[in-house]
Amino acid sequence: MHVGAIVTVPGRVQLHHGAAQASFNVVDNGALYISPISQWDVLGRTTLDRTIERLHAFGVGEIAVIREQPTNPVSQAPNAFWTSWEAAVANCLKFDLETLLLIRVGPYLELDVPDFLRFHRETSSAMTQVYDQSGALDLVAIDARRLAKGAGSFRGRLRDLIPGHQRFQFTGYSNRLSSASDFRRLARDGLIGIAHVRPIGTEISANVWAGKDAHIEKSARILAPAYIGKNCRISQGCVISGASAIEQQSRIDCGTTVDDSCILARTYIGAGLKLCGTIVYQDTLFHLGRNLELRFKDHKLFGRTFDGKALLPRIRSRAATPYTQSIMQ
Amino acid sequence: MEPALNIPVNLAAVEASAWEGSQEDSSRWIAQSVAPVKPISTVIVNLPEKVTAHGARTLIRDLRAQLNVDQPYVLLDLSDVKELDSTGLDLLLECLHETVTRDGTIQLRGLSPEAATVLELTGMDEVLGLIPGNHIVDSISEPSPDYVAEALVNASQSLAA
Repeated sequence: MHVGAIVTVPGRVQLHHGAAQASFNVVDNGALYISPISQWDVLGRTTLDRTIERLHAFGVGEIAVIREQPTNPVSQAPNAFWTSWEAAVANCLKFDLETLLLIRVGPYLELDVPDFLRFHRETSSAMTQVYDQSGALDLVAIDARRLAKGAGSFRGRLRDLIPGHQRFQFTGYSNRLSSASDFRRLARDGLIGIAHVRPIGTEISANVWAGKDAHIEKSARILAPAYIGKNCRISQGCVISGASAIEQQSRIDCGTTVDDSCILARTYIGAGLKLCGTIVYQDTLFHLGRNLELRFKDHKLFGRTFDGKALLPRIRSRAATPYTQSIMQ
Repeated sequence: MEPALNIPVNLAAVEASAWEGSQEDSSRWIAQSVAPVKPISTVIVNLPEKVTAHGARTLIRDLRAQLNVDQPYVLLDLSDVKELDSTGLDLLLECLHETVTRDGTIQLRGLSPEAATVLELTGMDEVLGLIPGNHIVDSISEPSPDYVAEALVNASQSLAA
């Protein structure tokens, strides 16, 4: 069976928890960039990458990824998303697909894709949507041939299919990832084995995972379960506990305790700090217990690490310049 | 009760010796039998929204000036603080140092969630001994209007004892 998928990545992140809302905004080169949760590493890989990997594993051939909002919202026209979406659907239908999956990677779910497709085929429905205990999820299977035969925009044709859609009740693991707490729960569930979020790396001791080139000082204590991402550095006297995850290229400075927390990629955590129930992304800290977002301009406490390998070509080119000049002279 | 003296950095100092007058009759016997007690100087340190490297030098200078009394009773108010960095933490340590050097007492009057988070992250809550172990949420809540009065009464009782 020929199956394709269009994966939509949500735009602005709203880490709402109760009444208050917060977002992790990244300012780079003067422009405002917003990083969706689906693009945050969880145990070494983003949920977007995990979803795509899962689709490939289940034999989904054509996969298109569309962002609902660009990284720089100012530069895009208001209907740019729907234009891209229509183009992606048209492109997928060229391959004479039998079924088209429409997925929005807000929630994370461990769907048995063949089982879902079997249900869709057996019900002979034009559209089947996945539901969990909390309600509808952003994952539908469409009869691609019926979608191709209709008239008007694909968006309009899709709208016409909604009233007769079938419900597929999903009972496996799902996480809506609608708040920072949800994200933290996914990382914890992955480490304790409730969710099948496989840590990327090797198991260096029972339930302690470390990525490639992760460096852990001897005096540091890693209490299982824990994840230390690739190129991370855990300095002397640090304690990592409470199913914490330190994502790639992060550095935890001397004597710091990280408990029940997620440290996102390329984050520097200063010396002698005590983190408990937090998510830290570079200079921004989200305190889960207080539902509070704090931004630090003091890089002694929190900041960003730089990828040494990325800097290497620049250093080489700069080092090479005076030499070349001297030859020419 | 407290004639607050507003100074440019939002530190307010209060000379509180009125309790002595009100308790004059009841403590006359004690006053006769023991050495005369020095008046307590209550200093309310009301920190601004940003306690960061920017403007910290002025804050520290004014703080030293206000704490330049014997046995100060310092009430530290962090309820307006939204931003606190390592320089701000230095300022708090300076405040503690100046108070302890003068044989004074320091107590927390108010604490914003932002300040509480930074103090917990850096372990300063334990260093300053400001936040009672498991009652941090209580200390974040609005301070009682009679807090200062209660503190003065408690201080007078401990001195009288």
